[in-house]
Amino acid sequence: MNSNRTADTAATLAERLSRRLARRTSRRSLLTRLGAALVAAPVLPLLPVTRAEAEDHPAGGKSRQLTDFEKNSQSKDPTKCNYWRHCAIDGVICGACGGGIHTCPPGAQPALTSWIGTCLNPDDDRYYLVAYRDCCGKDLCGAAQDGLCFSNDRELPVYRPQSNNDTIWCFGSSTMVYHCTTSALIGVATEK
Amino acid sequence: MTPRAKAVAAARRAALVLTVVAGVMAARARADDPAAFNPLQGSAQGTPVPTLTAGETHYMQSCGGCHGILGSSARGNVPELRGNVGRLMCTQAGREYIVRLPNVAFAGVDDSVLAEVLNYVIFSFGDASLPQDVKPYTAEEVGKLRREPNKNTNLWNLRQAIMAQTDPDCGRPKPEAARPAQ
Repeated sequence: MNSNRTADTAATLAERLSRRLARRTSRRSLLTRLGAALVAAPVLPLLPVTRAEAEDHPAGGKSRQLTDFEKNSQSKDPTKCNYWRHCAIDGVICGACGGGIHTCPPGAQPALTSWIGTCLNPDDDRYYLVAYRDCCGKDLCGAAQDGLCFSNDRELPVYRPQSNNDTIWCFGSSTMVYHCTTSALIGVATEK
Repeated sequence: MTPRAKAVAAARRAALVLTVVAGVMAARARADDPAAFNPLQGSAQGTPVPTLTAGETHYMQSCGGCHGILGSSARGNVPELRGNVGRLMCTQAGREYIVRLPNVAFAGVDDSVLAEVLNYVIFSFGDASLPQDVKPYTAEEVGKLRREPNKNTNLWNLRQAIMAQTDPDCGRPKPEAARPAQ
């Protein structure tokens, strides 16, 4: 079979098909379908799955992926490591050392610099900015196992030093001796 | 420019000004009310927690730890932004210097968010150091400048050189623009 004949056959077939299509469908039906598609397109993204994906969550990306910490966090007891505000604390919580959730224990001074993280509040399902401020100038707090936390949500490795929370953030205080860490609430995060 | 394009540009400018004004007001409210918001302790228990703008959020996440939640932290270790940063707006060189700082230029946010962060810093922390009629950064301006970051430059020397050429009176506000006495 030579290529010209193949092309002829294909053309004939295409012509026959399109003529049949033209006979069977009216222009009006095409308009109806096109109209329906136009109306349906903006409605479809309202389906819950798509909407959840489109929703913006700070640092969590477009789709909502809970971290291991967020899956197990609670909002009742701030002296426990899984309290929601301790999502990136990596240290001893001051609440277990005679201080409060945002206050240093007696004898320790709050550092002037801090490490700021983003934590999900399970009560209202919103992300909050939390400043982890070290209390310095007193030996490491010897809190029981309960007070020693190791959560690292949204932390980056040491080659991004400003995003790493292993550092002792006592800069600005008179001493670099680390005692414990507080979790101060700054505000509700808005991410674009 | 068509009338429609003009209207769109005007609306964008208005939105930018509104965002900046809202940011400034939020920062002032926080700075002025230490009972409700202590920069070392955050929002007091039982007080409403402020909702931050996108610019503020990124400032807090990427700059505020060291530079301070209210633009002031460990003097001597970290450049003080509050009452200081506005002086860099006196000259074009200062305006470009900020965007070309490595941690600014390479920040993991797009041009428009970066412009919002910078406008938050300048207008909320500039205070008396901020000259009159400073134009907010636009995404276009930031996008252009951050493509030529200062990489192997001695930033301290560069800043000294820029400040040496800055008129010391540039940042002085007119009397009527000064903040009212508390």
